[in-house]
Amino acid sequence: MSVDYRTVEDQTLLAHIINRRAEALSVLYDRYGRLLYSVAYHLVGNQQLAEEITLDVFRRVWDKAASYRADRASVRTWLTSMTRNRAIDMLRREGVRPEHNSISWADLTIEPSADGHSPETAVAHQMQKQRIHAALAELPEEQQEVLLLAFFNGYSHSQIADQLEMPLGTVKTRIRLGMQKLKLVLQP
Amino acid sequence: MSSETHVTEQLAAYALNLLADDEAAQVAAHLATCAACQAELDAYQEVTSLLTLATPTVLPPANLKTRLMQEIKANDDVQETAVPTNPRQPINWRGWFRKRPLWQPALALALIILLISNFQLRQQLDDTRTPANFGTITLSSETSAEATGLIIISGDGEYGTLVVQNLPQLPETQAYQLWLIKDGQRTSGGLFNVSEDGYLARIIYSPEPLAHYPNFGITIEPAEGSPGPTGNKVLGN
Ligand SMILES: [Zn+2]
Repeated sequence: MSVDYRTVEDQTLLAHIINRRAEALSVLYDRYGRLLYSVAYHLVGNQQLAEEITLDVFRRVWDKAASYRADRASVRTWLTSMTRNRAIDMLRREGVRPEHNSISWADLTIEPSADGHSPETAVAHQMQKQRIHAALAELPEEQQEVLLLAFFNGYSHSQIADQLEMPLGTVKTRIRLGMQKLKLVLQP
Repeated sequence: MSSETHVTEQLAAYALNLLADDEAAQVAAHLATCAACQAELDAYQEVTSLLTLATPTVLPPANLKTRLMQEIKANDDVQETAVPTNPRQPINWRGWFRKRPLWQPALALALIILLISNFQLRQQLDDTRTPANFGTITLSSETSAEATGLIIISGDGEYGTLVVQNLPQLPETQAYQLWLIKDGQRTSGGLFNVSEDGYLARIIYSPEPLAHYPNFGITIEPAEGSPGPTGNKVLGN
């Protein structure tokens, strides 16, 4: 049977991956490889480690696609969570020191990225990005500041508190309020 | 931490990996027992993932994909296939396909893959049963003659597809929850609602190979799901 994997949904790709169809993994890489590599790269600040993380995540997809829970998360969320977890693990437990590369929200792109997605999906992503920028812009600067360190530096609560010379409780509150607001604004 | 103490305040931080190890472990322990907190965490993880879409793009080296594909092909030993051992009910396939000509293409595709892999396995086994009998379980209702369900298990017994028809569509506050039943233990097989015409088809992902579960049930639960069935059983085998 010949299947054009490029036209199937992410979840269906995973079903093919469970059935050991390498081409389905190849298409999933085309869709998300660039995103996952970029996420890893900005966290660990190092090309070689970002490559290792990206490979780790796709290896895990290949071996563990059946553990994906469609009722809990989109495929993209599953992939980006694994990527962030792996990268932050390296930062915290393996003592990786990134040569940062400090990002501000203004650096964040809204460039179109068609990648391996269909035009419809690419347009949907573009609209999502614009929503994200609008949502972030609405947050008070003090919340943007802590979220930035959490998000792109992979800092823990206490590392953020140290960096900003701020009480731990304040950091926790700002993170919580910021994320609550984003959840409210961004949820479909 | 006991299940009476929710961890709502820590979920955003947990989703962003901000907690210290001991705090994270406490939250994880609570999440294992609390569907409400898990659902809230899922929402924060979705937000975190959305934020990643705004990450400035850095192109990976072109050979990264080549490395990946070479590696998985090298390691891809063909796995032994587990064979579901329970006798399966025969089923009238024609009825299902005739009533539902307009399958969502992706789901139809998933179903076709399952059927083909089941068929291939049957051939390997030189089994005399017809493919339609193999790896399928019908679900019926004690209260409605029209409501029916079907679980098609993949040839390797690992996963399957759930198809239901003629169930009432639920309000947003409720969901159907599929239960995978083994040794009297009920494990959630996911939450779903049906379309306006009472129909649903989706892939089932289960912690153990799906063929390990001899029985299945579907109950009506709150939208965020329940750790165990609490509502009326609408379908079962
Ligand atoms: Zn809870």
